[in-house]
Amino acid sequence: MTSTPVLRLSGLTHTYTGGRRRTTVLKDITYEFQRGAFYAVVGPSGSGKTTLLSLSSGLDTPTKGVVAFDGTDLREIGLDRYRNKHAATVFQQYNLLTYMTAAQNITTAMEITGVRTRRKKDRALELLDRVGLDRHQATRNVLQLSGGQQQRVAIARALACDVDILFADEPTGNLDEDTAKGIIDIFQELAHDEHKCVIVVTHSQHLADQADQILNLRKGRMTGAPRS
Amino acid sequence: MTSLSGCTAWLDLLALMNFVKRAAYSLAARKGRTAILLAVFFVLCTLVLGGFLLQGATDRQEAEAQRRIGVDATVHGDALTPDAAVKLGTSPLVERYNPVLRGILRAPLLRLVEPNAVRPPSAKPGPYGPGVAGIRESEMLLDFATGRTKLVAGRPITTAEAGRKVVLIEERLAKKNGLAPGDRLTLASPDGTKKRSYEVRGIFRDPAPVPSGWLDPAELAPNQIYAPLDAIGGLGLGDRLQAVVLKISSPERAKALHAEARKVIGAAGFRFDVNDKAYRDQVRPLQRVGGFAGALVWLMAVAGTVILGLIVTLTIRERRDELGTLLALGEKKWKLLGQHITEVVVVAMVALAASAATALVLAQPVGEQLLDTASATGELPPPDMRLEQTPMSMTAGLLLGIALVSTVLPGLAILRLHPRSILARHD
Repeated sequence: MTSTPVLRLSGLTHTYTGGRRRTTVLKDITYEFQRGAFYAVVGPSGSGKTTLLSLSSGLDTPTKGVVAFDGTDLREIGLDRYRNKHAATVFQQYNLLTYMTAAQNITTAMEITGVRTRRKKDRALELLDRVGLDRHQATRNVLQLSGGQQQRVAIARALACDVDILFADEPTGNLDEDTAKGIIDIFQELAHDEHKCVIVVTHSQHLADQADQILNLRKGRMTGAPRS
Repeated sequence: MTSLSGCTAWLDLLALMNFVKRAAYSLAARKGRTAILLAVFFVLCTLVLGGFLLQGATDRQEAEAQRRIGVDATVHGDALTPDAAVKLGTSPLVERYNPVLRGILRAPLLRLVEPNAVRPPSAKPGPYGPGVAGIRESEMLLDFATGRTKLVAGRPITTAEAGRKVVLIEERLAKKNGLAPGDRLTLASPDGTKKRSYEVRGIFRDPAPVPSGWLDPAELAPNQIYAPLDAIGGLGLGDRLQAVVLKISSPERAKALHAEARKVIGAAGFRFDVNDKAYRDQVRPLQRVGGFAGALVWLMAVAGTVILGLIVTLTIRERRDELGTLLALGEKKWKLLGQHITEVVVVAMVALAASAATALVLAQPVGEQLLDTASATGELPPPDMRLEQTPMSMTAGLLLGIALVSTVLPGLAILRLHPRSILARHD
């Protein structure tokens, strides 16, 4: 494993405000993520896992603290640019574009993130094949696919963006055991062979056990030392 | 190398315009929504275009009515000479003019239509002659202009006939003397010393009956003869006009013309009458139809903007997740708005094209009905429904405005949020 810190969280605190009520969901989190490593963030519901992922992936800004990519504060890079060039997210609810086919979802993501390949469709089919979807499924509207298949389209879309950090929120939650194993293998390949940083939020102990590092969150705080 | 850089530029352009592609995917996939939006836009475009068409046709008819009917300002006065009439008639305020010189001539070979009663002893004895009016344009005479008197054969007297020895005679006189257009008749001065031959240029029908009592034959409607003013000069009718009729385009110009007449004729010794009845009868109803069409356009524009604005706003709100997802991928905000605007504009333009033909078909009978009712005398030609660039551009502009307002405002309200907040309801 290399020691280059690709993502650094410093004193990260985040508070949600609803009317008069303020809920602090993350409290003073500091951590460094490395390239070429596969991380699992675990913890009970409400522990702040998804918020941690949102702030790390540039989907939101922290109330306090700094998120830095390659040593530069995301606010300097610009959240849009960071999401566009350096980070991709697999959402728990997939968040696919429902008026497109599986392949179109992927080519669209490539167009938005500026992936330079002349045969985007071929690349999309290749990635879908990698996550276990055949050509027929690739050309169907995503709403005609099962939850598990949509999950895989979302993963393929994230892979298509060719970014430095891949975030995933419960990526295997809707997948059968065999497919889940295939997805975990892909994450490991991305981290170990393609030198990416993979950060996964999960409840699955099986998935967490495959990670290089496990981060435990409880009530918004990281508890104990990260387990390797 | 050049082709490679050209290819790269092409790829860059495609990447820049990727939102157009997404708009196409969205329109094709959401057929129901697209159809509803298309239907609403189509109805709105048809009504707005129909309103514009009707307004345009009304404007054209109003202009035609003003040209044909206008307002008659009549100047009477002892000092009214043909020269004064020309001065007034050629004023920039005046569209057309018609000097009128009336008198009684003799017509030695013409058998006049006779009164229905025996001449009373007190009445002037014969020989009698026809009533003759020297004019410039027969169509400017009030009875001709309103259609009360109609030309039934031949041609009217126009400015082209100035100085030519032609006449218009009444149908009953023509019948009694077996005259038709092209035949000739002779008019003589009241003392009979000067005679001139005239060609019958046209025959008109005056509905006025011959009264049951005695009337000098020169005053009977069938015995009226019209000739160009110059053509009866020298026949002893003098050079003092009875009146000059000045056609102005609207009643508002009458005041300025009155001042002009005062300058030409002098402060005293003339009477200035304005007859805008024909104008009011024909132009005001047209103006009302025009006003109705204008109100229709505005009503439709406002109602359409509100309805379409709400539909598009609701649609954008429904598509929060999509906006959040695309933002999460790092898509630029202007491209997200661009996609939604493209979708709405494409639908609007298709609706505009489709409604252009429909509006023409619908506006024609409605316009005919409204404008025919408005121009009750039937003197005006049928309304001319024409699709011109201006109403099309105005409708297109309106649609573009609706598309922009209804897309950008709710879009900006959503896009000012972070993707996490937009997608938050899933958590």
